[in-house]
Amino acid sequence: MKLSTETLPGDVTKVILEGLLDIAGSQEIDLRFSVVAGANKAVVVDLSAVTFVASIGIRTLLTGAKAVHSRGGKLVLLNPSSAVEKVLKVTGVDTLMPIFHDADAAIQAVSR
Amino acid sequence: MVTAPTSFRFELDNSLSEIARMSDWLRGILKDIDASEDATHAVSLSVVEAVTNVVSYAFAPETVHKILITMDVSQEELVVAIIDDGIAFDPLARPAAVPAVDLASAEIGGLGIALMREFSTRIGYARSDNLNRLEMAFTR
Repeated sequence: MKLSTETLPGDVTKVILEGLLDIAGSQEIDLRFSVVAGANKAVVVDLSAVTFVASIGIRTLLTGAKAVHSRGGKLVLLNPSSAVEKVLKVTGVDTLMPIFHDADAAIQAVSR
Repeated sequence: MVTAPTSFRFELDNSLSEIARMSDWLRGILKDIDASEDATHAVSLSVVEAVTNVVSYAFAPETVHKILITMDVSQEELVVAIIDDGIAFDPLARPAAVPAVDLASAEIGGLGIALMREFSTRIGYARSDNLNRLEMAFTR
């Protein structure tokens, strides 16, 4: 599981995840994802290169979203595959971490 | 395409680090039998969730147990059973998780059973001879 970040105009942080967000993948990124979520208020998580999400991966995303939210910020998800999006919707977390398929709309949603 | 055997089995220890090995085994079979993309995702996800629950909650700490996975392949469907000798636990008896209304009150966890229910076409639990048996079926 790979994690990289980009800082976009407006102090928006884009987190790009790549690979399988399963047990092993979550363990690989948990710490770095927490650090990013704990240090930023406007976070867009790009899921376009994530091919699999299990509940433990949702836990990672949700923990980050809670950290951002607790400091008055917002975290949204960008471009999940249809399979990943179904997992997010079945578990109801799409209401807590809104899903966007348009990067500009995602950036606008987290910008203050 | 594999025509025989139509039954497969795999054993793993009750350790989270074993789940990656199990996933590789599962994906290998699903590829060999030309399972659809949807079926591959549904089986991979549901079995990972079921086995994660067993490894995490079925056994006393520091004890080593084996978990058996079987997969029966027919023309129409795939049937996977997860068998363990842990404490009796019927995941289907748990009430459905209530979706959180906001991030502050959202509980982290308990999502796996909802995923297993959604992604399998049928799911059943039985306890006999001190063994838990969770069986899930999927359209091939």
